[in-house]
Amino acid sequence: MKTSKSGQILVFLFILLSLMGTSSADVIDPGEKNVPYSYKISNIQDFPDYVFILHGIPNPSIELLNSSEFSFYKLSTCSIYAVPRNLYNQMQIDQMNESQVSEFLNNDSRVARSSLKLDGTYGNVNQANPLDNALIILNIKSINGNNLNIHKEKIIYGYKNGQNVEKPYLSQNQTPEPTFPGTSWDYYIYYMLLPLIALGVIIFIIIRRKSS
Amino acid sequence: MYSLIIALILTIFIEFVIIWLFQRKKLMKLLLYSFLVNSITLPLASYTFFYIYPNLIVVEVLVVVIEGVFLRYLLNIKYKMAILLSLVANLSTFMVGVIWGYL
Repeated sequence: MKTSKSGQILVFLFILLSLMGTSSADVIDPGEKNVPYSYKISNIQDFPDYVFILHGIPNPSIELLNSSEFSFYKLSTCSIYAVPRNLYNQMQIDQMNESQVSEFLNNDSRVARSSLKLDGTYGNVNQANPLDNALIILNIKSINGNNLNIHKEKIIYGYKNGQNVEKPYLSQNQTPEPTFPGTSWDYYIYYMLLPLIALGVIIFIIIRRKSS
Repeated sequence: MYSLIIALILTIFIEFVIIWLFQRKKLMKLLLYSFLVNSITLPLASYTFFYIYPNLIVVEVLVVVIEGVFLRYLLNIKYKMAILLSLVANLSTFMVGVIWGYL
């Protein structure tokens, strides 16, 4: 079958558009909203001999963590460090400047660090998307020497209507996708029943017209 | 859900006006066609965009093509005209949506 040149151009443009990204990380387009990440360490109280520090680029320089939820600037990438409590008291980290903090946390052999990188935001979604926030629950598996073994345990997606949906992490590199919270009957009507009925009526009109 | 219903009603009326500008047929018939076509494409496009593939341009292109096919049979017009009609109608609703987003 011979395809016209304009047809080929249209197909090419369509493929090109489908490969384009939808939005950049730092800009919120009109009609979009940002969904922030927050984090919580579920078992921080099991390690009373350590002070847990959040350090990121460009910030925060130092944020002491406890059992409460924490979040940070959406464009930051942060890591968690475990500093032995006696070392923390001795070093007076809060007196250090930015580069000294970074040097200490990343190079001191007494500091336990993890390869886990934390992002500040899930990303931008359409304004109409019911997704509102995402809480990642972290779990400390072990602290051995300067190795902090901390895992993402689950993510709790929060929706506008107050519902939460929990998803466990099956892989540390793969964030589970949010799913529709407990779909109510009005969503079934809008997304399924209405299109099906409309399609049925259109088919009925066309068949009736052809037969007459 | 209310925002989706309002978007559907607005789309039906805007596209009805556009179709009427091109095809001066019976008003109620055109309104019914606009209602039927948009009752299929808008929910499916919204669902696709929100939960499956959030690329607005691709979703809009698919909507233009699908609506064009429906309009071709409902209005008994040629494909070229149906696609043009669908393109203008969807561009209009898209522009209204963008302006609505800014307000």
